[in-house]
Amino acid sequence: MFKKIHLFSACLLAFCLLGFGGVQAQTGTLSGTVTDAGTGDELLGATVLITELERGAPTNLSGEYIVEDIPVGTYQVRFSYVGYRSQTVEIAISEGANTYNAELQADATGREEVIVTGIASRTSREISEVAVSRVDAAQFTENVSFQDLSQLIGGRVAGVGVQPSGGTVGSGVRFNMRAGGGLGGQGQPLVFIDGIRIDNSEVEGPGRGGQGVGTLSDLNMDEVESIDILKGPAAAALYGTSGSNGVVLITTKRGSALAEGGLSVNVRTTRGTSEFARQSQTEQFLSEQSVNDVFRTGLLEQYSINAQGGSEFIRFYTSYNQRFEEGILPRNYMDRQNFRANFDAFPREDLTLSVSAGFSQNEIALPDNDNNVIGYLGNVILAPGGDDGTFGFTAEEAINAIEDVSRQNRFLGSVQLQFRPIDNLELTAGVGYDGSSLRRDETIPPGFFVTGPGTQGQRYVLNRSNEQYTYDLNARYNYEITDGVTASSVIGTQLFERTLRSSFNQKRGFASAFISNIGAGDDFIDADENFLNNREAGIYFEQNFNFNNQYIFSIGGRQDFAAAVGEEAPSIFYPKASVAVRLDNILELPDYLDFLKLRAAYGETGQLPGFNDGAQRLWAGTNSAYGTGGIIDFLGNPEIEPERIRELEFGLEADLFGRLGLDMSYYRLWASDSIIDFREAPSSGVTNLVPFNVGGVEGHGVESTLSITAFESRDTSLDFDIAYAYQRAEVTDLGGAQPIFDGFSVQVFKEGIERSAFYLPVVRGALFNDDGVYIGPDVDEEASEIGSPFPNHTGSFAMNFRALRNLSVYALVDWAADLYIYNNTREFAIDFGNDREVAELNARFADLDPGTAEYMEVAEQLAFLNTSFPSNMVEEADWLKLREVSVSYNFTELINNSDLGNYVNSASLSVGGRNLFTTTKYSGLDPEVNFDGARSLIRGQDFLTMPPSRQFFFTVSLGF
Amino acid sequence: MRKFKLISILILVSGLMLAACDDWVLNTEEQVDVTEDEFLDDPAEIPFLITGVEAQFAFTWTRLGLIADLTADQLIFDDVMDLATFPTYRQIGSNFRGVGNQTVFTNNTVRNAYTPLNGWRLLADDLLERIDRIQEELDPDLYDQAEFVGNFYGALARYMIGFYFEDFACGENAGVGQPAQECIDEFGGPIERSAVIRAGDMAVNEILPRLAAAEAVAPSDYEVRVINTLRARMHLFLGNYGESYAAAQNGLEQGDEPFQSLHNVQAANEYFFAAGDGRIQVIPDYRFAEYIDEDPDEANRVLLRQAPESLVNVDEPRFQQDMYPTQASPMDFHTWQENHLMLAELAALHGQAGNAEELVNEVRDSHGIGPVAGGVTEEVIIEERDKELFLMGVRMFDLLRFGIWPEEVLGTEGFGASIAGQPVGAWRGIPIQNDERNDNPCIDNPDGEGC
Repeated sequence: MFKKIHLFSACLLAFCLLGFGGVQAQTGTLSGTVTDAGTGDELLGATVLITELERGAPTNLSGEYIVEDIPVGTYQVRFSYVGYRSQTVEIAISEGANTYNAELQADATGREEVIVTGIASRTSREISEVAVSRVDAAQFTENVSFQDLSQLIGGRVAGVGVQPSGGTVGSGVRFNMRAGGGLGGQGQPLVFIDGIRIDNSEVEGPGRGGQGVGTLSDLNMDEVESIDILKGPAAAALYGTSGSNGVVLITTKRGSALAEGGLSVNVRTTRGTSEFARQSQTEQFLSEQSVNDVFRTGLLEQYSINAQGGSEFIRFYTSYNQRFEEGILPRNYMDRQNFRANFDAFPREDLTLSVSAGFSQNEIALPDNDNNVIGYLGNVILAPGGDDGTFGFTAEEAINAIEDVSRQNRFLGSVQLQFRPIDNLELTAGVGYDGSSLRRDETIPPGFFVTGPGTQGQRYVLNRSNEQYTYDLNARYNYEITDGVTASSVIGTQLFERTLRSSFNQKRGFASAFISNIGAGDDFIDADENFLNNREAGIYFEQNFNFNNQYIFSIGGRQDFAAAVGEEAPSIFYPKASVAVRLDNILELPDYLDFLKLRAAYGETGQLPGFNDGAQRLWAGTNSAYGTGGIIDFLGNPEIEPERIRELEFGLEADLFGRLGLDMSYYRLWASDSIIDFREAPSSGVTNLVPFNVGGVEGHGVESTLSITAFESRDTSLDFDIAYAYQRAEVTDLGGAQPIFDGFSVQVFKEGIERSAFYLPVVRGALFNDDGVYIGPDVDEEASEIGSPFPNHTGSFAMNFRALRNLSVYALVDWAADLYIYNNTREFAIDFGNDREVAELNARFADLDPGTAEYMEVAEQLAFLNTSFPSNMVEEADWLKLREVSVSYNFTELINNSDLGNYVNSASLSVGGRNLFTTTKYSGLDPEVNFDGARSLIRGQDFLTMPPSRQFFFTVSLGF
Repeated sequence: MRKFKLISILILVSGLMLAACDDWVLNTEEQVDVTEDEFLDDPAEIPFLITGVEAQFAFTWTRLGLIADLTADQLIFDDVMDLATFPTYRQIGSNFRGVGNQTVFTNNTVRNAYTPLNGWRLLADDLLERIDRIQEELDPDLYDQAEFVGNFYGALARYMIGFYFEDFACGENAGVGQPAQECIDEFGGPIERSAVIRAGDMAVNEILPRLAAAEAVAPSDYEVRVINTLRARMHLFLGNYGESYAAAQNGLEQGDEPFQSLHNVQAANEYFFAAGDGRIQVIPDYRFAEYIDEDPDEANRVLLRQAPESLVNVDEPRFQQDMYPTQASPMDFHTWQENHLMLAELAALHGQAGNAEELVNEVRDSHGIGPVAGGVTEEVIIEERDKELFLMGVRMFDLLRFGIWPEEVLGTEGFGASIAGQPVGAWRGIPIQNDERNDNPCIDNPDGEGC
């Protein structure tokens, strides 16, 4: 193995060392300013590029640039700046000083934004053939502080749902991408940061209910420049296996060249509070006050400093961030520190070296919740003791005394070399590393009674280390075939290796509350370890053609290999093809139509079988009083192959009136050879779910975004972004197998109905005997589809209003419709006698005479609240949320006009809030919950799960 | 020319990488917590596999025994107990009253016994297949040991699957619409209604041949006596009194150690977490405290203690079982006392030879309890078995055999919803679960191919 790594490393080195050539001579100078054509504002950091020379300069704080040593002649000079339409002009350079002042128009619809369209492809939206959604993170983090990815992405991208698995700070994040991939896997996308495929697991352990520590919570959103999302196989085909649920590509901030190698420093602090916002939903419990009382106000403090700058040859960005955030339950907090240092070096014109390094130290305390007798919510929601604060199962002081803290140190590092040995040939080599070590300590001190250990105390220690390497090597050659017809060829390889080690130890019987080392425990309870070493490799190619910016074609493919138990590695080829047609460059369009593009793309990706899925039969050791014995741990399927998912996507993009941008996509996907984990009849003796390639899913959906710049002037502007998505995925093939149910037998994979739909016998009403006495619910004999936990319709509305030039107001509303949730919380509250409606109905019912209209009416209501039939607890859960509001004022102009301007370059103040208002049909605490964490296939089930909190905050930012 | 060379090199490197990918991805480090089946075809691994079969007996039996005692009337789910919260225990305790569609539900507590029980059966069968496969390499003694374990525990697993689980309810309001006893009279006890037996080719006839095979290689006479006691129990439950008597005569003898499942903290006795200091969800029916009230010497065999007051939400005391006080408490499966009581019953009630009173009194004397007065009647047999086989998972069969299934779930008003005096549900065994119904085509079509 090491030989091969060494060989690969040598290849990387070769790319670094090849072709260090000479430097050209210079004879002229071009200088000037770059400003906003609408407002006249100087643009700091705009790029000026002399196309023929592939050389240029950035603008400084005053929007000024200078390019020296230009040979006399006539050149195409390109002026560009993020968020503005680029401008290319022909300039004749004469000996000595030459001047040109450029005025750039705002790119209101983001048409020129460069996005990632493939594993080694970046292009502008103008000519991309696939739908790629970009979140300009830096724009949002400027005024608002985000806890994690779910807050930053949620509601901003059509067709991408991102939500935390619960309302506790630091828990996992769940993505719902389009109509989902196939039936295999966990439905989560690949996540890359600066080319590093990162670990996005959720780390669980005993207790905690269904919520674990989310490894994505280590990431500091203030470091993020942009997020590109490839939502399905049509776009993500070159990411190959495991890309079936899309790819999230996060790019962190990088330095930009400042005048005279200058330095820009920004310091920022955010403070805020979190609170329980759903008191209106607790009235349903007899213990309403106890439920409300269990929540507290959580504090939020964040401090950050970043510096960036550089010159033509080297640029850097570095930041330090400390965030302390309390949840609204006791014992829930996250204390995170992030350090980042990114460097870009340009030692030669043909060589670029980019280094990204991020280190995080994260301490997360998570209280138990969900299905747990030491969870706060369970103890108050299932305790009909009244409003006196009675805890149902475990005393409050005992729960408060438990310490459960996870500490994770994590390093994310990548090195990327770009080398251009000859004109138009670009070689890229990169290595990325994600290494983390996590330790979880759960201590239940002696002296408090807790189910399980009793009063003797318990300690659980988990150690987990995860290392992931991503190796990328590719070559891109751009060339002109004939006049106006250009092409590029890409060939590359991507390797991935993951090594995961974990071990835990659990003991009970601690004599002193002050000594809790694991060795001081009397009773050994359990210990174990896990080890996984996994590799994936892919070879890919892509051929692109561009005919006069009118027709853009691309074809490509990837051959993937993956490690697995068994004699043969799963190997599969994934093709792709796409086309875009720029109608605005072909046809005479009305004046109001600035841009019109049609696109179509087809791609295939897959879902790997589980690492052990190909094994015939695996054995494990089990401890017992007889000694350690062998038991069958897993029965696999040696014939198993990767699942294949095909997607066809059509899109239309248009800019109208210079103010309105429309982007619409329709997609259809087919999953075949889906890996279905069959539950053999228990009488077969097989205790695990056995994987087979028999499943199929068909999904389709529509995504549309509308960007509107209602008006824009130097002092005032108003923008809207409206997004809507529809999706539906239906199971089409289970190979004739029986329906596959979740662990609670309420959700199903069944041919002909939506994936994971709730499928249960429905209560029709009440049954009465001949005497008119209520004898129970009248229930359908057969189960039927009730609804899906995946919303069929989602959307958002964002408004950005700027007034008085420096005052900005941002608001985001998002919603979901045609969504159902299984309210297991209410089911248990009823069973435990804590449901107010049922208690009142029972009290009324006891005094009624059979046969009367009121008796029958109450009986009917009781039938629909009978918890023996879970269909009664499946509720419509459409929701709409005022997700985010922020008001910001930028004092920079004011400061620059005062003496303070000598010391401070910029200043701003923002106030805002999140989850400010919710309206929903769902009767539970919140519709955005799932009791089984961020990774399981159980969806839309609420079981004593923490609702998201409402948050208020303010941010002060100063630049030097 | 330079361009051409570079492109050629790139294509060459890519080609090499393609060829190397397959090797590279397979060259990973071995897992440490599992191994592949083929590696266990090694004589040195057979003891490991034998232990695995024994271990799963303990894992399964403690779970099934608890459920059986709750299905019957020895344990009750009394929600005045602070930690009695599992609806699954409530359902089992009430014989699934009010569950609705009696063939479409899942009870995870039952499933957590039923699934590993069948897995254990597969382990035992695998052991027999494996030793046959590598017989030539095996030491004869090790072969015999493995053959005994595979056959004995394979039979034991089949006994549990066949005798404890049923596929349709036979009580009031059950799908068949007949009163319990009429239904049982017509369709038989749980074993006759067990779809799994039909479906999985595990008819009772499979148990006896395995016991015979185990007997042939039994390591000592003690194991032979255990086998005979098991035979006697099965025949007694099936009403084959002559066969039961013949077997019981050669069953466990006075002074024999009980045949038990063994436990430790990592393979704990389930009673500790469901009915013990780990958590009290279920408690013994109140009559066991009354037995001791009536005769304090009964405290020597009906082991109870008062539950902590802090865990009881009413003023009246509640008792918890003390038969299995710790996680490591072994759990009786057969005792010589059970064998004695079977012989006594066969003599007193079924016309077989023997002195029933003497047998019963020997059992009582072993606990320091005085002799019975007034002869051995059916009532005496029922009560002696109730006390002697307390929490041994067999009361369910006595309720069926003697037609004494209680009509109500006992309980008291207290914390939360009351279950006091509620009629029991329709089941007279442990229901086969939804996953078996969904995934076993033979349930609906027992005469189908492969069933």
